[in-house]
Amino acid sequence: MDRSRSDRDVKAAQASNFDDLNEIVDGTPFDRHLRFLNFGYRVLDGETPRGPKLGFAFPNKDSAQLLFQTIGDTPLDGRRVVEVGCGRGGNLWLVRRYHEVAWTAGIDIAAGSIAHCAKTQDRPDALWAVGGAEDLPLASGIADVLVNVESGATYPDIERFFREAVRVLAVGGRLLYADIVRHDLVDPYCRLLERLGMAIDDQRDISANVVAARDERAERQQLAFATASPQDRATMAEFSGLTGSVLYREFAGGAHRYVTVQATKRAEVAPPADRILTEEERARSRATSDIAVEALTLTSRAGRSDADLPSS
Amino acid sequence: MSDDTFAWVRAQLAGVLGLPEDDIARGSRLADDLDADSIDLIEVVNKAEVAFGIEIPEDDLYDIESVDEFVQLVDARRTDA
Repeated sequence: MDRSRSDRDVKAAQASNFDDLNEIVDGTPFDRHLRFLNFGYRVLDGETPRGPKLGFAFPNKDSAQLLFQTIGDTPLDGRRVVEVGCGRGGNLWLVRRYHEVAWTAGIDIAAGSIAHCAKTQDRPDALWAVGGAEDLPLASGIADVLVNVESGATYPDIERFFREAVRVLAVGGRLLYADIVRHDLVDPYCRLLERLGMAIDDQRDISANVVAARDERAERQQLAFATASPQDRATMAEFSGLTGSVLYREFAGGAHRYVTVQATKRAEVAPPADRILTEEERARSRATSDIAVEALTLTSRAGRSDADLPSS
Repeated sequence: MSDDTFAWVRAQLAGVLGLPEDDIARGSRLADDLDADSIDLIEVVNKAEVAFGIEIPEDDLYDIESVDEFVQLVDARRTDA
């Protein structure tokens, strides 16, 4: 990947990646059932699952559990809930299915994902908009809860996203964040949020649960992408987080961690004019974005070969 | 219609799950007895929608647990069609 690409180009590539996936799924039997694109959370021995009990036929139960784990004990009834990076709308669908929220708003950079959400969740209390996470098309203080699940790792400028997330949250509002983060950036991200007026309520490393979810289900879930061309199998493996794929190895091997963070906006704080993350931290964060965006680019589009297929 | 629907569902489940039809009873629990998962069910739902010209809403689907519940779901939609 050309490391000199502008943030705008990276965002455009990211949008294309997910719209390519939407096209692959479009019209297949899995289209309307494929609500989630996250790697999921498998409850390990001795753990108690969170959230409502889901029937056997509920698709992507691990993905639903990841959302329930990310929400934790955050009250949602009556709340205004925004999701940045809403993808195909599964999280907000789930939120409305089990909570009496005031309304939901889903923002995503991929126009195809937003079109899918608007078609499958066409209701007055569900708003959808195409937009970038670093420049949210939302008024300040409009949200009580802001959800961001497995999306931030692809952002070329994560600090701008965090600043925007804090801006749109009302005082007392909560950020619910879950993602793949470089192991040495978890603490800097938390310090960044604190500088912006957030109090960190909880921070967990859930890598083992996500690894277990992928080991258990990723190969089976690839059936949803069966119509992809053979040369794009490597990219489908990345979207699925297949054991041995590039993204799987990043968080399973320790270079990155899969973390959840719950943070509350304790006060309205004027954001510092200067950058909070150091230049080196920004570069490391950007490197994660480059890995993710490249891994999720169709082989046929990027000119890669099947030699990149994961070894598992 | 129910016996007819059951026979059809049983044949489809047997094909998707790779089981003898005789192993599938009306009272069989899809996950516990037949080791089916949500993807198996989506495949059978899609076949039913094509075969009978019906549409099965996801919300009706996600709470079923047994073959009989699925047969009733398909039957209700066939009656409406």
